[in-house]
Amino acid sequence: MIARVPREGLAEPRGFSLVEVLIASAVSCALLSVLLQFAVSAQTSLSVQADVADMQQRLRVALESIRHDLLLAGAGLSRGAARGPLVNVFAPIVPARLGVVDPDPELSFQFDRITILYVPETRAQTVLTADMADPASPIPIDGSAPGCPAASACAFAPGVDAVIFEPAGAGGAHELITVLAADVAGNTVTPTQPLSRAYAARSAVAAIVQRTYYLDRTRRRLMVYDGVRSDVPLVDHVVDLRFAYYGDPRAEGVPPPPAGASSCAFAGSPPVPLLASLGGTAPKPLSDSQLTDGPVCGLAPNRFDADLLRIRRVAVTIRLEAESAEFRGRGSAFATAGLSRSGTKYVPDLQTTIQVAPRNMNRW
Amino acid sequence: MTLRRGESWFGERGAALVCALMVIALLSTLGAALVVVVTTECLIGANHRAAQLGLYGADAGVERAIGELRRLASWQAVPSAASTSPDFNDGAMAPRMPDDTVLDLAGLTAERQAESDVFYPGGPDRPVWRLFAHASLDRMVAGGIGAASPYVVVWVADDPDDLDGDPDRDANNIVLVRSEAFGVRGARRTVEATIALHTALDATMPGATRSDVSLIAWRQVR
Repeated sequence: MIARVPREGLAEPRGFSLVEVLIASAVSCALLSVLLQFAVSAQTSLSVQADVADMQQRLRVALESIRHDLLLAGAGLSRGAARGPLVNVFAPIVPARLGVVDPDPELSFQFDRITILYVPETRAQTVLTADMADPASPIPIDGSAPGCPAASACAFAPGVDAVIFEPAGAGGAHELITVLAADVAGNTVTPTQPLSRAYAARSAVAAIVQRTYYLDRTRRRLMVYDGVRSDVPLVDHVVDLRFAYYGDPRAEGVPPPPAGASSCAFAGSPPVPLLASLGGTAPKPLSDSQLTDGPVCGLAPNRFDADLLRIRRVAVTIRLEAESAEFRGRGSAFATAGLSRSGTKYVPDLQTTIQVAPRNMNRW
Repeated sequence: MTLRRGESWFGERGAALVCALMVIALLSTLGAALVVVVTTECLIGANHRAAQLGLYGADAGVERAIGELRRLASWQAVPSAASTSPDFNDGAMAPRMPDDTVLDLAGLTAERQAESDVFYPGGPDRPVWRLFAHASLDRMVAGGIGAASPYVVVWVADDPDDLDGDPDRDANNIVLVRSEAFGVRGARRTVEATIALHTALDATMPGATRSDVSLIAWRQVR
């Protein structure tokens, strides 16, 4: 018989007692729960950070888009007799929705809407060679004006959005059109709809960009409208949008009429400003009543308040919320209440204000 | 019960190891994803900053050119090859950028001319672009901007509407100014302006004239 001799260093084979198993289980559970806490916390951080990053991206997109258009607001024709900023003729920044579809009434003020107009870098800019026969007739343009490509109806083509306006000091009528057809041989442009009036020779016509930014409060979206065809959502989960306007306080702070002419902001000879002086020289806030109470410029259906011509700076305030309701709580930090009850899932609304000085409205 | 060689009574340690490895893997994955999110956001932020700095640099280039041109009583010689900024000019035709890339100003001028020739119809009045000023934006800002300062290049050209048949000579006191700013990470922003010189009698000094510059059009091109 061979005796079993336990090998050195090995425990005697025996089971675990209930107490040992319970203690081991408790220790294991405690360790696992700590580790799981770490995992859950890391997963929450990841989700929150992704949502915060997304919110910042949406904010950048919204602000960059508005800032870009505001910087360019009022850029006019760069060639020909009608060259110069649009502010010489009409208001390129309007606190309302303009355009064909569902426009706001003339001379209205909406704090969460802005329409911006500018002539892009384009060769499509010329003047009328003759008076229009009637508002529905084709527009006779100078196809050989400086800068116009040869045999192209000065680069006007079907679908191009354009502005037509009387020269400064000639009445102030202007309106936006969309080109239906361009006759290269006859150098005429036919708009999709009859104009409000027959424009005279020397009126200017140029391709234009119109952008109306507004807040769709129901769907919480920043929308952009091109003035003609489409309303397009730009950024989601936008809960507030406000525009504030600052203007040149001087009464003579708007472009004067050409020599011998008058305008809605000046009267008499020599021209005397009709606008009220706001005092000082630094830009002053312009209230909604100041921007709608006259003097009235332009001709129906595109009249506007003369104080819009003194705008030198626009403040844009935008507020975005986290996309997921899981990260939104309750209280003043949240425009839309969410489901969050925990500080680790707390992404308050992000609000930013920028001020933009439209370059073409500051040195005319 | 007999133990064979190599066996252990503590086989349950393997389960703990597996659990630990799984948790570590999970945490590592989440951590790595978080790092990716944060790094991406930082890069986007840095690119955005470089682009903004570039835009303001290009805008500053136009303003600087306007400031220098305002001092001139006549712009007749501004579009000529001899016309350069007296102050905002580092003299280098191959300046080194903040991220160590080298700009070829002669090549950029040729590129500008080629683009312009596509846009403006041919003829004796088509704009011919000349280097007017080029230096780091640092030179314009008191105290400097630092390592990320963009390099600003300004060209001028005669506007094509004066119809004098000479692109080297201005005849109507209107010139084109184009300013490009080159920043880190390939940031490049361009502003083009059409500006006009007005000379009038100075009301404060009898007999003297006063020059001012008005903006016909300002456009961010890129």
